Amino acid sequence: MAEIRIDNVSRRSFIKTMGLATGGLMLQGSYVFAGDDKNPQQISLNAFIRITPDNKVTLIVHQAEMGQGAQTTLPAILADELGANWNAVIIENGLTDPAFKNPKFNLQFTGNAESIRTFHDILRNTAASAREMLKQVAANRWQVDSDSLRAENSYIVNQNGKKAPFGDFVEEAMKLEPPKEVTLKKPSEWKLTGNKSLPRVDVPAKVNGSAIFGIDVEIPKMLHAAIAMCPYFGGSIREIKENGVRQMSGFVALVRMPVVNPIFSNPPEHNKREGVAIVADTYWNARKCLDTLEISYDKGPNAEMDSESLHKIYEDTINGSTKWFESVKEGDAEAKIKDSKNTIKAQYYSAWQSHAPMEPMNATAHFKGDTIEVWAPTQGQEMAQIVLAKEFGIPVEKIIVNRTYLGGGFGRRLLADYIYQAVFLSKEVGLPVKVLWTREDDMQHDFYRPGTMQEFQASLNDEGLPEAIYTKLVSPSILQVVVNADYVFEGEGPSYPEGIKETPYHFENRLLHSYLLRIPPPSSVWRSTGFGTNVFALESFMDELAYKKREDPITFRKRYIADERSRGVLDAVAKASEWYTERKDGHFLGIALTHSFETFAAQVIEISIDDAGILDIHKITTAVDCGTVLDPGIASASIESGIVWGLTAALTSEINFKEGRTVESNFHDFKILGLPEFDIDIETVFVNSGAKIGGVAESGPIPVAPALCNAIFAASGKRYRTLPLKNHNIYTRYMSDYVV
Amino acid sequence: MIEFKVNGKNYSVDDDPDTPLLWVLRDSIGLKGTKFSCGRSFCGACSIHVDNEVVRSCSFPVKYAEGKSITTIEGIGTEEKPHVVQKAWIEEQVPQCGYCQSGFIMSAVRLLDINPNPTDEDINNSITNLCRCGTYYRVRKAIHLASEMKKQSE
Repeated sequence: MAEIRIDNVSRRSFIKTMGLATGGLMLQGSYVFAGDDKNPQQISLNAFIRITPDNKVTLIVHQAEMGQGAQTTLPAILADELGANWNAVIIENGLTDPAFKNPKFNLQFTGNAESIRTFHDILRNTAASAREMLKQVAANRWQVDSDSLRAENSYIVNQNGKKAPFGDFVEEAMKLEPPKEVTLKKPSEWKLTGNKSLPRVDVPAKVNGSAIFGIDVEIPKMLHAAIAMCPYFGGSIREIKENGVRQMSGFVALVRMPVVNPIFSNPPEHNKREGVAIVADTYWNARKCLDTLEISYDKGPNAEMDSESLHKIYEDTINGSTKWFESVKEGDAEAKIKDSKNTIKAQYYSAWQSHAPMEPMNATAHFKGDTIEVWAPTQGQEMAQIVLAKEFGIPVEKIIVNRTYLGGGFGRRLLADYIYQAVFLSKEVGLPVKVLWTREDDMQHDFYRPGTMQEFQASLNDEGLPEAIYTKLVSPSILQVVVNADYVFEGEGPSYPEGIKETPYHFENRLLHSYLLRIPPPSSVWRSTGFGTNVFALESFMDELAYKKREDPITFRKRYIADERSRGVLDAVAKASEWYTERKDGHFLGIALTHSFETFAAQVIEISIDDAGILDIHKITTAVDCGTVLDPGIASASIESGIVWGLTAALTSEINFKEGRTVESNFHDFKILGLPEFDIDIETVFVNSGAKIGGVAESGPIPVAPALCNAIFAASGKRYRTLPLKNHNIYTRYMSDYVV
Repeated sequence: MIEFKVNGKNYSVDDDPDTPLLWVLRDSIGLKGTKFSCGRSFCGACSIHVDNEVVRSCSFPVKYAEGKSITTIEGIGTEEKPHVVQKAWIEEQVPQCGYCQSGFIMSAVRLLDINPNPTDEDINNSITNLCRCGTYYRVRKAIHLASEMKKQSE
């Protein structure tokens, strides 16, 4: 039997100095877990900033680092405003704190492209306040006016060049009342942010294997759990044949878990799934024990459900006498369309999708009786606290949720289902437990991006221009499981009308009817939220209208845009993509415009389709107006990432259902695009309009599917209104090798 | 006991011979840089070198490692002396969430060992790892850069 290793990768080993090997700004920061720094000399000026008398400046990152660069740009904002020496700051992963709550939601979480657009001002004010307190102490001591001082490289400097470290003033500064008002630095004074690309803080550890993800957490005396959950929505475990598992090497416990996710279920009876866990000394022993069990299931009330029967529910809802929720009513679209002789109608559908982050769900927990400590790759630190408090009867302030690096989040890790399991099992066995899902567990027990269906109808006037637009939207809930609600949403589901309720366009007569579908598969938020599928429908339909008018798609869109920022990104993308330059080489262009997460983006995709029908994507040009781009390197990476995410969902990946459960189980049948596809020329231009800062991380994927389908229409005259495109036999030359 | 070398050091382990090498490396030896993702050698997150061949360690029983020389992400370079591929990865700022990157880097190191000047097509044919953040575009750039850097240093 394998040796049980305890504490071999301790939390302490996480404290390390990082240096960059090549190029760019040298970064000598360190990165620590919250709670690791037991230095009594650390003085908190506020929830985000601590300084020691020996002038070590610690900046706390309150948002999860899941690839989007939060761990770099958020502390850079603080350091910039504080006047701290970036090369020497210590960057620490925050726990939960009231100051870390997103004020729009009164909740601490990472997602919805919130990190920069919500916290830019908060962080600047927080850091400016700390800076002014340090300056005030220095001013008193040096008997000068505080306004004559400045903060630079973690020193307070006076007009004569006399300077002293922050640490000299911090003890007195913390006794001051924070100033009621502070003057923020002008963008021209920013040194670390604002059109400057910093080397990412997390990159060195991510290229040498030392970055600690949830799966890498080691706690003394920790045991390991492998689990099996009933794969049938609403089903249950009928029987478990143990087959001598209790005599197997490393076996510790066999635990029936009452339900997988006791809190979040919509409707409750559909989501109630039983599970069983094996706790063992090592993960592999737990897996071997689990594989020894013979588990049979009762399929429950949804045994007949499959993709076809679900799709029929969508169609019947769209076409039937549905009790619609009136999401938008402007003018009188219904009457206009009824009276018109010239109408156009189109129906769109986007398939179900799995998050499939590369790191499968996992969490480590120690239930200590009256306290709980958790180590998890989570986007929802406070949601986890709320769930655990409710389930285990322990107050939130006695629940510590340590956040590791996340091996992808994409919305999946807002939920606390896997964290609950780790705590439940730790309580059962009385020792810390790490629970690790397999890829199959992860894909079969995801809370999916639901399939959504949209119908667009327009009446056209004598010039062939739309005078009224009537849209129907059918979608399961997106946010029901994310919010800690004891109630079930009625009427309009939050997030699901995004991109179709408020659009970049203005039409005088507009009606949006929506319907919140209640069906068994669990659904939740997925990178691009409601925008992803709705914008596919809207921007495809805009293209259909432009074609009907036989007008250039950009010229047509400009007739209806409601904001000058839309014009800005349309012009920028037209220029960068050479939209108006005629292609002679069989290349065709498609465009899509979006306004999402307070960011405007327009994207042009250039393609060709060869005689064999193979799709070649040549160039993807995106113009982004997020107000001010703080770090163009990270923002460009985010757009590139979004393009891959969007293309994967547009072309290949989908989740299907059969006999009341999910069909796909791993990357052999949930197909995600690989590296060969991406010899595409990707160009991203930022339009710095100076407007309020918007989010970028979720904006990237949104225009991809409609821009691609519009390009395919331009090239072939074929309009595809359902995704993914592989179901229409649209393949790239690489996909044809691996798509079944 | 099964004996082999990892990153130049000798190890003997008493794990079940059928245990995937991934879990021996991670849990018995304590090298956590090699990651578990699909468990069926589809994605490459667990890629390592066994006697200079790229192996997906999630599907490689430890018994086949007997007498072999294994290299993991921890063995190709250090923070102070990074491998040229790691340098290129930093220069191009490739990682996002970072979870799959050890596997990509191990695949790229091997590619450049056997083909110091790979074309795009060579890269397509040999880097079959999956990344959900979509770092592919920068992975390709970083491999070309590493190839250039390697030539310059020779």
